[in-house]
Amino acid sequence: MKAIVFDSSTIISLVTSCLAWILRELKKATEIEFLIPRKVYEEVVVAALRNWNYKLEGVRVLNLIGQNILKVEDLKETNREASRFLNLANNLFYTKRRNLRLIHYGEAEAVGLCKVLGVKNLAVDEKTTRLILEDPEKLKSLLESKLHMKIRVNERNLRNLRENYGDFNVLRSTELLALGYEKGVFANFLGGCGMDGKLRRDCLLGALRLLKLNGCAIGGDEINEYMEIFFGGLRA
Amino acid sequence: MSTEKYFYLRKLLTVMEIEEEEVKDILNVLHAAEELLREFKIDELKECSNHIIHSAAIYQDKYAINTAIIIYAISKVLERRKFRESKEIETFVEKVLKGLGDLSRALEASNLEDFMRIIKSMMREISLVDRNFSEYLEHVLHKARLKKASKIYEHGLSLGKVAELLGLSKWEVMQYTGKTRIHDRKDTKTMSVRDRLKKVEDIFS
Repeated sequence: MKAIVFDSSTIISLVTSCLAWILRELKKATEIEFLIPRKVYEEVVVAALRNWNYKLEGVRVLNLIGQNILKVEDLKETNREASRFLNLANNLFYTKRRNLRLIHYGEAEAVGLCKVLGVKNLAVDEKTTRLILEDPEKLKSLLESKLHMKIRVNERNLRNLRENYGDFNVLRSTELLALGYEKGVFANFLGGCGMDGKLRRDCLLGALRLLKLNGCAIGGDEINEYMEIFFGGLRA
Repeated sequence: MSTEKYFYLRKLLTVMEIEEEEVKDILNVLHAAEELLREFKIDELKECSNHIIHSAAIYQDKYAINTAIIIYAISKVLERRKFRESKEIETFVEKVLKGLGDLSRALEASNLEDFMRIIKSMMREISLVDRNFSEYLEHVLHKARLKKASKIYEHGLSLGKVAELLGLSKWEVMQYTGKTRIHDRKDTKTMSVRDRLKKVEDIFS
């Protein structure tokens, strides 16, 4: 199945940036499925609707689900796979005092759903899950520098993690935005702006920065890299 | 079971709930905060609340987390000019100093129930001042929670874990952390943007 499983963090940054419509446009262009597990649904819909400040955002996500742009996959096996990943990730690093429980069940459920469905594509905007999947050694260095202590690694769990999750494609909302831009999904959005090249640059730069401001774990230098790719250089 | 035995067992259980190293960390911060408040060093008091963050990230319990929140909130309340110029400030500082002392004593006696009771009463005191001297809709204690959530996230815990520990929603933690420089650190970058874009193009091809 060609699909991307979403962690709540990616949906949150897209929705709070009013850019979730990109998912609709990307879905139109391809046959890809955008999936969320039950726990992510609870975080992006149920929790949002309960919070005075995020009710509208909750409705927006619900609308995406109602239009079949996002699909909730509530599979029994997900729990087992999520617990397996949670167990590995939360027993990967330890200090002389105790093991570091870094990951929450919601994040683990997105990874678990990938495993159940045999999907390798995971959209996650928060940094810790991404670092665990892509470069646990880097996360170890970050922990050591922030906690000011030696961090030890459970080598067996690290091996297990690399064998089972090392081939995941982790992407963020910014990658979806850049791809959408490349595919021309902003054509309507920019319809009334003429052919002004600077406006097009500003549009991409503004959207990337908005996603960053709304919590997507992307650095300013990475935004510069994007601008370099698309326009041959413009400071973000 | 005799009453004496009951209280002995209850105390034993609460002692097991918190580790010696964590007690030491919290006590150090509480003593430092008391000292700084006596000297009215507000900026340093605010900074002092960060010294317990590594403990909060490791132990992930309410004691270290609430200590950090309380100290930060006290410093924020004391920053307000309107409050600093009011006559209520003296009583507030006295109450807070007493509260910090009581917290240390409760912790030294391993009385964690008392520790949490004092925390709650200090939070009530802060809320009262906040209500009278703030022009913001957002409560100072809520802001303190968000601030500490973002600090713990910076220390390596995931967003979901942090939101759960601080009793916040992921929505608000993301919006807060997005306005910090946490994601500009070089050590969170794992791949070039060009490679990332290539990957996503392959997924959609």
